[in-house]
Amino acid sequence: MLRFIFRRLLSLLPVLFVVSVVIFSLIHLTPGDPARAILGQNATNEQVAALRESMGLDRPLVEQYLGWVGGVLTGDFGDSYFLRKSVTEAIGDNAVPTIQLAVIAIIVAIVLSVPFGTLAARFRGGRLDRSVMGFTLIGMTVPSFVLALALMVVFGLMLRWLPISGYVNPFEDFAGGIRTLIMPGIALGAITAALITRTTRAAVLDVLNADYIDAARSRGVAEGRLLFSHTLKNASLPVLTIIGLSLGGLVTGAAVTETIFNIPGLGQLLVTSIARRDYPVIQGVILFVTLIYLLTNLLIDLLYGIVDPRVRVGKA
Amino acid sequence: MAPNSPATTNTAAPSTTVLAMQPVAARDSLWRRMLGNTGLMTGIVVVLVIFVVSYVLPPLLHLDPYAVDPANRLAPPSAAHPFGTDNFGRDLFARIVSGASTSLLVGFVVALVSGVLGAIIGIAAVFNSVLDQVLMRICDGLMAIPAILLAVALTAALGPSVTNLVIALTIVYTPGIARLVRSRALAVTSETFVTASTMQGAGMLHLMWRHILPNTLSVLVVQSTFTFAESVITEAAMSFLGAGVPAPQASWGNILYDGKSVLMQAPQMILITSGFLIVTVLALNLIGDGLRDLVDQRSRSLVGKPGVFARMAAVVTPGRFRQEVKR
Repeated sequence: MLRFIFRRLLSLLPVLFVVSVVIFSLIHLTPGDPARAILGQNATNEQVAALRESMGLDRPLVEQYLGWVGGVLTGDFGDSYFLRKSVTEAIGDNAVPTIQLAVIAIIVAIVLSVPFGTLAARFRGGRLDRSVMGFTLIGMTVPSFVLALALMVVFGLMLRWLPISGYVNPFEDFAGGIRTLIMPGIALGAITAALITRTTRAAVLDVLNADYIDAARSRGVAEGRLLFSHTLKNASLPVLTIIGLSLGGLVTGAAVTETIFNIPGLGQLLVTSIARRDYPVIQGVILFVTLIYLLTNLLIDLLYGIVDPRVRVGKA
Repeated sequence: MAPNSPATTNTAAPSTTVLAMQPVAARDSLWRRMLGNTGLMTGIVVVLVIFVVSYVLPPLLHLDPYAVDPANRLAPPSAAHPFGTDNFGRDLFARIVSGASTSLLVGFVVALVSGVLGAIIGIAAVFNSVLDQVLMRICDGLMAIPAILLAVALTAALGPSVTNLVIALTIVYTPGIARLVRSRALAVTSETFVTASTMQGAGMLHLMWRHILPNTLSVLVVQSTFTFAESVITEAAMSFLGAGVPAPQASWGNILYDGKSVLMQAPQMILITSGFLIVTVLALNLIGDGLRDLVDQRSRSLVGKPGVFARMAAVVTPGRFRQEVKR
């Protein structure tokens, strides 16, 4: 198991290297002088030169890169040009709502997808199966921000059940926090559920045809237990994979959805930073979200090893 | 061995002879299989209609997506403005039609360019192991960064314009296609006909062009279609965040962005635009699914019942339909 973890960690290194180069080079992709672009046309040459120096733009490219990576490795993402705080602080302040939203969304997605996907597979071709598959087709098509807008019109404006904007931390006021987060959470989770439902259905269908399910049935295992314990457990590998893969989309989706609901999360931080060309914050946010994505996928990979011993032995 | 001698092993080998003796089923023509796939045809018709409308209607009806009518802001749908007006008093119908051409153009160009680049990278990777390692690590790295975030950041860095948007989205979507093409190309290179061709002295370029590319084309086309759909969504999401198509130009994301702030007064702005967005993406996904069924050997036999489009074609060419029924 240790060797498996080590090998998996080692394979992350080249990915992290490419990610860091791409994110670092963002600032240099700007046509012309980034310092001039940040300060605008009215700034004096002295101001631009001063900013260039403080950004380290006058140093050689490799040195700049190594300096930036060195900072990142020690948890120092640099300072924001506008926020009067370090990027780490800015991300720390804004990550909480985004992660809460993503967690609510993944709960909604799993609660919707796993039972319905399993039942759709069990009653394959039936009315339930067809309607579930129809809904997943819609879910794969509708972007989460469009569903969020639709929910906003229905539950916020027409029925007036839920607030259409604002954020309350659920750790301080649980009921109020859930009220502000549930609508974006459902919008995001329902869309994510579509893909997971399809995968669950396909995986369960595969397992249902296996001999050991027939064997269990002939031993007299109850149908419900057979479906949700025996089958689902063996079908969990592809389902876990797709949940892990959708986590990246979920955090990004949370970033888009939260701007609709005026939730002060990473998405809002990114959008305002882009408008202000606050490069350290842009780089920090993207790196942070990418790291979350890579780490969750790493955890899921390690989880495989626990769920399915074959993965540990084979060349994963 | 005599035909009826007792078996020497416990398991009887399944007789392959009987299977092989069956007559080979007549292969349907590509055109007929396309007609038989209702989803594919629906998708193609919908996308073509939106495409034609977005290019033909504006000059025909003198639609101006930028004409401002301040006295007539946020008007509900009427005869003069079928979809109403937006917060600047611009005709929403004209803006949606103009936005359709932007969205479709961005999606199409991204799908085309990333398809071509992905094919080149994917096939090149198969022929050189060092190149393979380098290219695939770069692809892995790019794919690790969430798509919308990378696209938003790239567009922001390059400067907001439609061209830069296309460049950013191409950078985001090429790695996925390259990886897919590579895995398919890898499978093809181990086929015997490639070995045979190599032994006949075929050069690397000949192999790539004549053997590898045609065999990866099916995966490539299907994936490019899905990339088209993804790009339309991502473009809308980016413009909705205010980091995509720059402001006065119409795109579906921009209209949604404008509509969000006037949700209370004019919900039709968001509802109609999202309707168009969803129908377009659904149509593109139907095309992708349909193409996949078309090229996938396994599901070929499933397409049998003539759908709406096959029956419509049968009205025009009755001879073909009779054939279809007979089989």
